[in-house]
Amino acid sequence: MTGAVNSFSGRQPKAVQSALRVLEQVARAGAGVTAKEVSATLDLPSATTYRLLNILVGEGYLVRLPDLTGFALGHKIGVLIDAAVAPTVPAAAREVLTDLRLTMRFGVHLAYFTNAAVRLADVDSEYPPPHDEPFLNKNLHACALGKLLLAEKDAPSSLLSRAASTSVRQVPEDAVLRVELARVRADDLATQAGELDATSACVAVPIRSASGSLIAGLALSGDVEHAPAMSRCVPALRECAERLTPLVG
Amino acid sequence: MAKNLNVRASSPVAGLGRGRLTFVQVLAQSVSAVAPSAVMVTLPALVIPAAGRSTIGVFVAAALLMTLVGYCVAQFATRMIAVSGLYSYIAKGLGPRPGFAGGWSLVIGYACAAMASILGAGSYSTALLGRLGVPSTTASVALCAVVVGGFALALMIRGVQVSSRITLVVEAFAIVVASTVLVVAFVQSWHTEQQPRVLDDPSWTSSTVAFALLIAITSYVGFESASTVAREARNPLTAVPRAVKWTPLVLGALYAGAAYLQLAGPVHQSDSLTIVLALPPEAGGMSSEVASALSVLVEFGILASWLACVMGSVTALSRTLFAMGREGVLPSALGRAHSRFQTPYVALLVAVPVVVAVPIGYLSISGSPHDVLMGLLAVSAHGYVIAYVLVCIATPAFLRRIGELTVAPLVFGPLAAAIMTALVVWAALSHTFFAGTATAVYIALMAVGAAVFLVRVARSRGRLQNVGVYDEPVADDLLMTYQPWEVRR
Repeated sequence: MTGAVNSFSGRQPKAVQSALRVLEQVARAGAGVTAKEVSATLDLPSATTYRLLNILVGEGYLVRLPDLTGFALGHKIGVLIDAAVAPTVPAAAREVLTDLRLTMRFGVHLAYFTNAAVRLADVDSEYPPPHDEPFLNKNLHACALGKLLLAEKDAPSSLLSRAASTSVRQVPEDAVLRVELARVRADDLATQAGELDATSACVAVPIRSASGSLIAGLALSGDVEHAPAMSRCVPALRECAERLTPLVG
Repeated sequence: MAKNLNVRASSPVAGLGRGRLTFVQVLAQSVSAVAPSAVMVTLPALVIPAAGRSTIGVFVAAALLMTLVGYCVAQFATRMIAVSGLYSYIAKGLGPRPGFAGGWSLVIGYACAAMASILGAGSYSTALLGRLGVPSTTASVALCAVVVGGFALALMIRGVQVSSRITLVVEAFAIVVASTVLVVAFVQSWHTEQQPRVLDDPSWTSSTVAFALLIAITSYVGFESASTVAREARNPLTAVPRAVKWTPLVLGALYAGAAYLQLAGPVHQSDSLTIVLALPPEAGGMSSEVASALSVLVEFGILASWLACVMGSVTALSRTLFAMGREGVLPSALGRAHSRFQTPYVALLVAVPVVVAVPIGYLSISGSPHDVLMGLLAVSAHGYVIAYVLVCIATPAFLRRIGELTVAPLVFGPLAAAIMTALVVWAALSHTFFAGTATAVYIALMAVGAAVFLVRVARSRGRLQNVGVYDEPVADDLLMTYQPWEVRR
């Protein structure tokens, strides 16, 4: 079984191309398209089309609808969409952020969340965040925004890689992580002090949609010595997050 | 969107766990329900007298036939995430009535296989206790059976992950023991340089072929049961078809090997169930200590095999009853899932006491564990084979209905169904197949099922449309309301 997988050397370009064409055709035709229709449109042999459709369904790129004849895009496509979308912040929201920045001597950053990642949407140019977006996403357990994301998940450890960067706090044991994330949920607030590196600290509050799901986070970043002062800013941060909710939701 | 997609908000089988089992655990479900190591040490001995030197060929032919059935099952398993396996498949292919007939047939198959395994486990644990001086009476067998049933019930309610992990370990132990013992016995008999057993080929009549093949087929039944844990498996649409296609081949290799080893060296089949494999000390020049150590090992191995088979068969049985409960074809309480453990606990609580009580009652009347075991296995084989025939017929019908029929399933499905039907008719007409009582019991049980079905459906016509529930994709599985900027659970 695994032998067949290992011996695959990308020398079956026809099969891969056909699979991608099938995927594209389902996307173009819309939910409910049947195997016969896909086969006819693409002029592919029907047995090949059915096999490719079943593989794509098995891998989660497509779903077979409850009538068992129709197909639609599956949850894996969501991963592709998430990677392709770019965060855009409306002008009104940017003004709200500017107002807050004028009153703070800490970095004020707005991030959006996809299902599995933090995406920095509007960062403070005067007090830039201590790390870039890829670094945060590699160390979700150690940053305030990442903890907000993990706290939403039933299986948070599925988003964590054990091979985190060396300067960063180790990924905690599952039980420890669960307690920590339960705390984040209870307080509706995530913090980090000296976890991402020795010198920085952050606090973050969530921004939720009308249905209650997490869509964005508002974070403060600063020096680890000023962590107590940063926690005193939380009420102002929350107030700003509230003003942002209708603008980004 | 122009088309009405009929997508529900929640799955009709919601409540059962999802994505719990790895591929190896799914494979273990299929293998354990077959109890291959018990087969390895017993069945070649049953087939060898009928088939002689062709025994290996008979097992290979049966493996190929079951691979055809597996091919048909896989056509469904790549397209539906079932909780009731062949029941929902047949229903989707041939409609609710044949679907229920196939499903009920499989319920009989799983239940009788579970009963036989409970009895097997009870007998072998009694035999092992007997070596410690505990008397081997019907009462002690019954007590052991109750303990085994209780243990299995607790594990299966606790969670499919726990029970399947234990099943996997127990089954692996059983197979290793059976293989080791057969190899040791073979090597020992080789060393004495005695003449290899001269097998007088039995006079080949068509009915002996059919009989030998049928017996060999019964040593594969249960391999399809991976399809009952699809909802609980990771990547079910790839894992389940793979398990169902591979199991007959893996078993075929094991059986052919076991048959080869037993063709050369005589392995005596005693009439008493408790000592299936008596290793005669004089045959291999083995000291009696070695022989008795091997016997103990074999008893442990076969006990393990029966234990795994209890778990495998009852898991499959409970999922099928669960689906029937969800549909309303059986009382809907059976369709209840435990909120924390996510297992069909009502179906388990109903099934296990029956599965324990019937063989004990039967044993107290008959007195011979061997007869009871054979009787139960014969009824169970009826249940499986009829369901297999139906699913093979259902395959092209199903594919035609969804507009995905190709040449291969159109050929293989009816071919497998025709071969199995021919074998049954052939063996039955030639009177070598002494299973009259088992057939009568099976027909009576099917009649009971039909009566229940007719009464339940007459009370509420809607139940007929429900037949064949499976784990449908729900709105969240589709991207129809997808929001990229949103964290989901």
